[in-house]
Amino acid sequence: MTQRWISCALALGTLLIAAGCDCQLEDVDTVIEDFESCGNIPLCGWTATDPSGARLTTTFHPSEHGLELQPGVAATFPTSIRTEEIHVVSDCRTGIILHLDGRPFRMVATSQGSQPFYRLAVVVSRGGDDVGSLGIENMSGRTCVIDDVRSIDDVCLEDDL
Amino acid sequence: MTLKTALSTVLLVAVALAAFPAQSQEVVAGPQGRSWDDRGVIIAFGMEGVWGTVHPHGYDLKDTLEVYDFDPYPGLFNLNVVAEVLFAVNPHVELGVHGAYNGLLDMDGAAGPASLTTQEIGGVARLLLGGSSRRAHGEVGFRFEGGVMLVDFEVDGISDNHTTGFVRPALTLGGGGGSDVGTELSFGWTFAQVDRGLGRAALPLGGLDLTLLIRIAP
Repeated sequence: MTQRWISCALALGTLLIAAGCDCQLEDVDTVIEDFESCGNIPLCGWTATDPSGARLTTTFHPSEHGLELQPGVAATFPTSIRTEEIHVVSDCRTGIILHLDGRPFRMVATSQGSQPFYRLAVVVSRGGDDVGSLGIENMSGRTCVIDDVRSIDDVCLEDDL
Repeated sequence: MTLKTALSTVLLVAVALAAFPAQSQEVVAGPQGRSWDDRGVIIAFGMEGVWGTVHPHGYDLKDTLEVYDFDPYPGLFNLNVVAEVLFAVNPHVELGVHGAYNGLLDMDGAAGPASLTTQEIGGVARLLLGGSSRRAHGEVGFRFEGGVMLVDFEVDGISDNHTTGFVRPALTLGGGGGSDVGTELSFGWTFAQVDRGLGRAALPLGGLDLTLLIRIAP
């Protein structure tokens, strides 16, 4: 009887290991906010610490919108994601602080030199963190536009085999 | 038939005409030692191949396209439609009007599908080194095009229209000498830029230009 239980446990373990081997970790890029299709929702659902210091504006084209933040203003957005990295597009290269559930992270430009817009990124967790609130604070000392907020996370994708 | 297929067909016909020019029915004497009396109209139409049209004079557009996940090097080679009406005023000079329609860029990115098209209206001057006639098309010279470029930068179905000037100096080579129908091949460079065409930044246009025209001297 005991032998049968051991065999079953081994078989189950083997199955679980096999299932684990079928799983490939891949970066999944999820758009959290692109500030399009906001309708009449003020600030596209974001809450600013100073509502007069935040507004929706266009970025590089009339079709493309972002959130403009005055110096010192922060805006938060309720979300429910699991993430390892957060990326945003901004016309400010430095001084953008990301807040995840109140924890601050300084965002860094992924490219050098002077550009009209930069992609800023920060690694917030190895292995992924569940996040309930995402905030962006403008500490650059000048007006900044934020756009294309994305989450990058490793997701276990099953093999087709 | 798609527009690109139609344009490619016209280009092939133009190349064939260039390779097998029509035989002359009426050879008009050149200027050597004779009075030149061949003033008249020349109609030209054909294709323009544009390489690197989108941002050869700056990288604002490339950088912006990149952060928005568009192809940062779009429109490396495009076929465009060109039409001209010229007037041969003397053996060395042809003056006329130039029009072109360019579909430069068509791609997808994080901001949605994008396309960039330009239309050119302006003047063209053709300066021939050896001197020639309307029908003796075997000459070498320079072309200068310039005028107004109407730019439509469309992203996600919303247009952003701009108007800017352009100049295009080129070296030119005629083919199909002596016949009413000839060809002209020119290599040039386009200079154009829309200031603040990308929100706060400039939208640089231009680049190497290869034009093949069919010339008809009625």
